[in-house]
Amino acid sequence: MNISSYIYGTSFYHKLDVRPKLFFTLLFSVISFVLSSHISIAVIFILPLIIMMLSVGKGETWRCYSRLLPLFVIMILFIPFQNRDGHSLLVVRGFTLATEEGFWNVLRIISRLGGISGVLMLLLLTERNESIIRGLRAFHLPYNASLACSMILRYIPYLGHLFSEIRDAMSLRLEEGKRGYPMLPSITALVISAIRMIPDTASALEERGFGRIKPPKERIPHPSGYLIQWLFSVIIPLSLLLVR
Amino acid sequence: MLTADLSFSYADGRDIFHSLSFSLKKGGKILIISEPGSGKSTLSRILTGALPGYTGGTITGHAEIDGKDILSLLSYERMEMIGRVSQNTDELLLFSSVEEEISFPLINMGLDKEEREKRISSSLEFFGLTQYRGVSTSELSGGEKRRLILSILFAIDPDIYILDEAFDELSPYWRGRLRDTIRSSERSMIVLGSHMLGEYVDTFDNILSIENGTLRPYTPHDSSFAIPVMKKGGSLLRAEDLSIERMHRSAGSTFTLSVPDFELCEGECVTLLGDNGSGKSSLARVLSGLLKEKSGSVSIDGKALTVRERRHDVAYLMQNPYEELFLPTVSDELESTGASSERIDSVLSLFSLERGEYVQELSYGKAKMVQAAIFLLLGRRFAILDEMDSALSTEDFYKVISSFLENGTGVLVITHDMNVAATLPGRKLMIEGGVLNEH
Repeated sequence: MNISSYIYGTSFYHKLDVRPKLFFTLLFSVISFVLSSHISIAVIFILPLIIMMLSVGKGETWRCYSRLLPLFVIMILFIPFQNRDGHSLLVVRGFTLATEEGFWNVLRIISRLGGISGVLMLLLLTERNESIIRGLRAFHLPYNASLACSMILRYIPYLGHLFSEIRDAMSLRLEEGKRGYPMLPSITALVISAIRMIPDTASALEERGFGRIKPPKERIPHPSGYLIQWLFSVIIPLSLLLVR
Repeated sequence: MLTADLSFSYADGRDIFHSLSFSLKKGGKILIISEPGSGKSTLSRILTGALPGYTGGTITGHAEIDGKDILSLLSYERMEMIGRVSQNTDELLLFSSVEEEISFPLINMGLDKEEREKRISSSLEFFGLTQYRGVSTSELSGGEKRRLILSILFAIDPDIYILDEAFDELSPYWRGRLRDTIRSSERSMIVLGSHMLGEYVDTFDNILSIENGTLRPYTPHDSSFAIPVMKKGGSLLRAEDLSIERMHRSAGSTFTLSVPDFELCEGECVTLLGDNGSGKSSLARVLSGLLKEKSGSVSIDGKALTVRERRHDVAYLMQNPYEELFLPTVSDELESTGASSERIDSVLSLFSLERGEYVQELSYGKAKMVQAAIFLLLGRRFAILDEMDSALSTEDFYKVISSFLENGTGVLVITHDMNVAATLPGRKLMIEGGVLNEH
């Protein structure tokens, strides 16, 4: 699983200490489930998007969010199945295709998915794996659990990377005149590879000494403006609760 | 120091070894040369504890280091006794940066920060990776990954090193450096290879071979391969004024390769040489349409090709075959090419492959043969073979090249082996100082 989403940078989000950053990520994700007004839901989607653009640029932001687009499209296609007994929004030949409540419900889900994915991607784009482990350990999480968390966080971007490798490999086999790649074999191949890598990773970890000792916790020095960083991480997500 | 007498069969009942026995004295150097699929990597995995592990299988016999039974120890309990460099570099890379990969085992060895820093710095410096310390491992070239895996093992510094095809993907300079290190090291070393390299001469105390599941003294045999013959003619693949940018996003650095002019005719064989990380694979990706060039053009018979169009004409056999093999069985892989059953059978027979074999259970060398079989069946006009000679026997390598050339395919061979380059027909190209030129 030798994939890293980390992108070198000197943005304010790169400079934010990993401890307040982890707290911000968690608090933002939790609060996104509490909010329900249209504006607050929009902010949940837009805020990580803006921070990402400021931190890693438009190109990388597009690269991250474009991977979510197929999921958004699938959700939009499910609008007709949502809240069938609500107020009609789109009617075709007397048949209610979508209701107002169904539409907003799907937008809410898309916004939460986009917001939480965005804030998690931001964490991975601006922090190295070892920093995330150190940060989690600062919250008294055991070493093994911190390592597992950091690997799980990287597992989904890794699957994205693996899928693009499979897609490239498949595209090299296409017949003349054909475009794209065969979707079903590619997804099957992804599932096989993803399952196979679990025992391989476990075995590689043990060969490198995982489980041999409990590494002592390393003290992370406080950077300048540490208190302000914490205030940013707490106040910004909490202020979303005031949005009506 | 190390004595072993091992028999092993996988969980599915496949027997790999029958009473494979050998001994290695302290500071001794053994070379084991044998065909792909003979069980070299399996042996290294058993000794380090990766097998049976989570894969399963049955080991009988014993393996002892200084009289201590290592088979009863967990992998992490053996790490200071015996360690390996795997053939598939991606198999052992787990973390997000070069530094983290090396520091992880050192942390688990309980070393203090000062000692860790000392070992990380010296191993990175020794293998020329100091400037990549903060770089993501996924952004390294094949040869750089190999050097990283070596630097991890050298930082751990176990009593016995197992180097599984560790010379593969290394440039001549790094091969020479590794050979000198093996010769001068006081540690015991087991080197596994599928064909003889110049660097192996006068380096080992003992050369063995795995034959029918047992170890025997190695006897050089007369190779029965014919030097590939070119049948030049037909279309011309051309790249003009190419500029290729390779980015290390994790470190904020970039590398640019310039290709003023590159030509490859159908049926022609051209060899490409260059140091690790010089941009050989990036050029291959651009020519095959997997990477977009920064500027310049790629054309066939004067018609400029888009990135997508190149994929239909230029096959790219990647350095790591597992990056291109994703379907369950050999049969599934070959049938995905749309070739007729008769053609598939003839290629299976030519490359000594079996339909029902599971791809993920194939040895690295066999996986390379499947990869070659797929692109041979696809019948592209041009093929780029990225370090195809590594992990294959000499006979198999020349068999692959000859098969493509006989089909009239223009072949670009990327290699680090100067002997291979010397025996192949056709022009030689070299990337030096970020520019591709005739060698």
